[in-house]
Amino acid sequence: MNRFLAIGAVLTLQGCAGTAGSEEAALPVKVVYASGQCGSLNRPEAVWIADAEAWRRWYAQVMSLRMEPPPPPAVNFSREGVLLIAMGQQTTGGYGLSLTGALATVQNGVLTVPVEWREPLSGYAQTQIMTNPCLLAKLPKGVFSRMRVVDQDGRTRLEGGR
Amino acid sequence: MKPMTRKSAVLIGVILVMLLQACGGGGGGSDNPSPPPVQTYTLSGTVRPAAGVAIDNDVNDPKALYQANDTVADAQPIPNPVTLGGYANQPGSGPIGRSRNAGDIVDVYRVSLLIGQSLSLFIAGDGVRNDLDLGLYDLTGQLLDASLSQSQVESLTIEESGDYLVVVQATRGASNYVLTLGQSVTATGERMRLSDAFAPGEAVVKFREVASTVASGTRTRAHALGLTAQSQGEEQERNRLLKSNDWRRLQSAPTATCTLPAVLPGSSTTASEEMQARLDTLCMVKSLNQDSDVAIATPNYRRQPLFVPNDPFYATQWHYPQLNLPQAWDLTTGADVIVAVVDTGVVLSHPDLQGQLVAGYDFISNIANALDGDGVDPDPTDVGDRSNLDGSSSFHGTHVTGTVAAATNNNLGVAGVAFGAKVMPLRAIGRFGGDLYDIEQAVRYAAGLPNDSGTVPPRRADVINLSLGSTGSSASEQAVFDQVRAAGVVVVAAAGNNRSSVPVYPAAYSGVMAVSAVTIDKTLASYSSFGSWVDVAAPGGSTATDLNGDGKPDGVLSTVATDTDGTLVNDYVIWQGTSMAAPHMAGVAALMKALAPNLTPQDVDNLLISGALTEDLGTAGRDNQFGYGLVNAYNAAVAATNTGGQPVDPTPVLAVSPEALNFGTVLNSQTLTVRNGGSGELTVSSPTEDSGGWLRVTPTEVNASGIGIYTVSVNRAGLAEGVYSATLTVASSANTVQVKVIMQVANTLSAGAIGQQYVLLTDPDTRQTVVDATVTRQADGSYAYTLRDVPAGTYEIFAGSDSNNNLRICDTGESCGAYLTTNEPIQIEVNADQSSLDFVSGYALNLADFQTATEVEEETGLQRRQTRQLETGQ
Repeated sequence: MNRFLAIGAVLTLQGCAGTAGSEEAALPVKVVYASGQCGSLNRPEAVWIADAEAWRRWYAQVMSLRMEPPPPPAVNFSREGVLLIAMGQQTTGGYGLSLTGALATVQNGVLTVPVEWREPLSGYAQTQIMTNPCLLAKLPKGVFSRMRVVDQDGRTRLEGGR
Repeated sequence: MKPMTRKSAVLIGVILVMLLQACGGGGGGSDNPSPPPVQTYTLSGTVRPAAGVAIDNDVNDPKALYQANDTVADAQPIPNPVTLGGYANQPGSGPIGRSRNAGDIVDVYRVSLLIGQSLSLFIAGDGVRNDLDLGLYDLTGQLLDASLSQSQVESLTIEESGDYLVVVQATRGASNYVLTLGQSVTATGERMRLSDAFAPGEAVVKFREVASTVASGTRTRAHALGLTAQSQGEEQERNRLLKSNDWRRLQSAPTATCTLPAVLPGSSTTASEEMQARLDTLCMVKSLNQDSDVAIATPNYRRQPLFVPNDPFYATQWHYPQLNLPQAWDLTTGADVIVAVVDTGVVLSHPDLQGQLVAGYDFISNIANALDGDGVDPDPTDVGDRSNLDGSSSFHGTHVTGTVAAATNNNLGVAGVAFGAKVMPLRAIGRFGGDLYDIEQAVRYAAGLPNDSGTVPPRRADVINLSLGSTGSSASEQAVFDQVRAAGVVVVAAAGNNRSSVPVYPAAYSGVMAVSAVTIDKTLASYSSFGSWVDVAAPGGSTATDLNGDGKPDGVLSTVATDTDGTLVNDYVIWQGTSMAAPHMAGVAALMKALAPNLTPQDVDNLLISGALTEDLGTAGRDNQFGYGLVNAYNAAVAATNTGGQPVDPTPVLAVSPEALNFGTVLNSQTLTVRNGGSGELTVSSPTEDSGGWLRVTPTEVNASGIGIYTVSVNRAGLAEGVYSATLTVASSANTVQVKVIMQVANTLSAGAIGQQYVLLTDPDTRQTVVDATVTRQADGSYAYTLRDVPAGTYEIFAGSDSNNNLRICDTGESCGAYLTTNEPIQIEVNADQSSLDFVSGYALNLADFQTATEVEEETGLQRRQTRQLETGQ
């Protein structure tokens, strides 16, 4: 009885897009900012930014190394949110993050974002700059409680919760 | 005088009787003709003090009025303006007199001074064996400033109007002196002022090539400390930086006090540590200069920069003042030097790099790595990652290039280390990184060696910067760097961000300068590599802190671009890494090459190893964290200049001398010299002034660019008594200089004091004294004199003081006068009594008298005939 109630509850909670069910739903995802040096974001993490105040704080942190940063891009938090993907501090150049497509997926309450997780190739000299790449992507609000960042080899690189 | 013998007395008595009989007529019946009596006459007059003069109330002449002026409590008040004559001596020094035994070490005067006035001390002694110094104290007896040179003129400029104690001290020996206030006299000789900007606890010293015959032992000790050429395996003596500890080890015995005291006798205040440290430093320099094994010693002057760049973000670039870069910019900005930056390329359109680049090249041979659609080609543009918004590290080369040579003082962005130099952007790092073969080709091209581009640059680079690395190495790569070095190029590379001592290449190759990274508080950055192969440290920063509280992370700020959305946007950003440290060293190497174009990579290494280019950090001498220390741009520039290089900075700078003009009460016109203190082209506008009418500036000998000599004159007519000030402004195509002008109108000066006068009648041809006068001091400070028993003849009359009691008047530094005027004494025909032979005595300030360093004290004055009053115990 409880199980049926639970499924029913889940089915009712449709949200704005996608389903909370076992079916996979696709969400359009768009990069709003990407850089090799993202302020003080030195830990690898995936963060879901759901309101304007949090967006303001995270954006300022990302921009803290720039002297003339542009204003934060507009986000309509009634319908959208921002996923911040931070690779963590690295000791050289040659690291980077980019989206491998225009879509992320939601299934079983987990948002999965595929990225190209670039690392320096061996055999090459690298720039000796401390880097901490990040990527900020805008998505429509979805019904998920966890996020997963998956690289080009299908390996989960980051996980986070809302 | 010898006592008479009895026989002589009888003889004289007989002659006198015979003479008397002859004069008296009558008596006797002698018919011998007697010689006519020698007619003598009496001359009298008054010697008046010149206006505006004063005398030290305690001089060595026992006949002079005496009042002690040795402490804060009994400071002697003096007027302003004034010309004052005095005498000071160390105990046991100088001629016999009142103060010879006990000493008269300090003379303390109290006076009101005006901002901009010159206080000058002219020393009759040689300034070395007889060395007087000048000090300015507040009324509590605390030292504010001092002039402590070993030349014959000391001077200070008053920074703030107020009441002060002015002190003349006999630091060594004994000497007459003249102290002036209100006269604008250019002091010559070395400046050793407390207020000069120098590093406390340090001296720059050069030892003599050969030990002197007066074996002071200093040279032996210097050798043991590694301060002589021989001890370093060098051919010729050169400047060495000496620290206080080393100086103490150089002395055989503790040195006597050799400067003014930080606090006057009788003061209830205590000396400040900082003041004492600065006094000790100047004492060290003085003592070194007195050592026969030392060729020359000076303080380690820190010049205040002529300008602060107006780049809006310069204030955030803490890493430039950390290297004393602004002081180095006084000497050079790197003109005519090329630094090759082998990197990701450069955003050629960045506004703060315009005019800073020469043509470069792109050596990325793999198109997938290059992302610009082609392989090796002449376009070094950093294309970033326009093809992919993947946030990878792009535009790195633009940041490194900005550190080397961003356009500076252009009201835009940031400043660069060697902004007079040019960067040759060479692209060798792409999406994957830097292919070692591509890097090698780029480095060869920069050095003007044959390479895969098939060309060489019109002019090879002087310095190459490599903010890149890997842990792999090879003998063939080492060979390439050997060749590049042999071509005369200084190669600088980042030591790596590996937090370990694992060697990173090319930094660890022999002949390449490996640069580790320090933070804003001069500690090794936590990411920096270290090891026996690290040569030097430079700022790489740490963005985790904001220790200086400027609201920005403490990393290295430079030029950059971003390309989110596919649009290239220029910006300025703070990064951290040994990538950021290396271009600081490369820029400093460029500054050195600008000052000494013939400097080879080996020369640079030798200077580095000797410690001449750095501030030592970590363990004394070389260590694995900082190599030979944190690079110091000013020290490096000075070191380069000392190798005999010629400054070749084409930056024009308006220099005006003097910086202040004080006309006092009597001067009517002075000379202003306007010149180009840098080089290149300078145009000077007609000077303007704001006096409202009493000041005038006219060109006297000036070329078409306004450079040359101007005459500045004042007109006191119709002005009320008082002090007047104005500003004279000289504008140019470079900078503007303002000259403060002070002038006083004083129609009635207080009667002066010239000290006990001695009046002498002299033979005009030989200047030998014929008669000494009896002199009576009058209440008004003048001296009435009478010359008795003057035979007929032609004479001159002189008067003067004998402050040092050497029985000569009119010595340098003593008051002097002659009938009718001191400059042109007139000859008097004496064949009758004469009275009212009045004239003035004062202080003649003939600078030539004070600026000849004589080995032997010249007797310049006129000999008094009176014997010295013998004092007991002499």
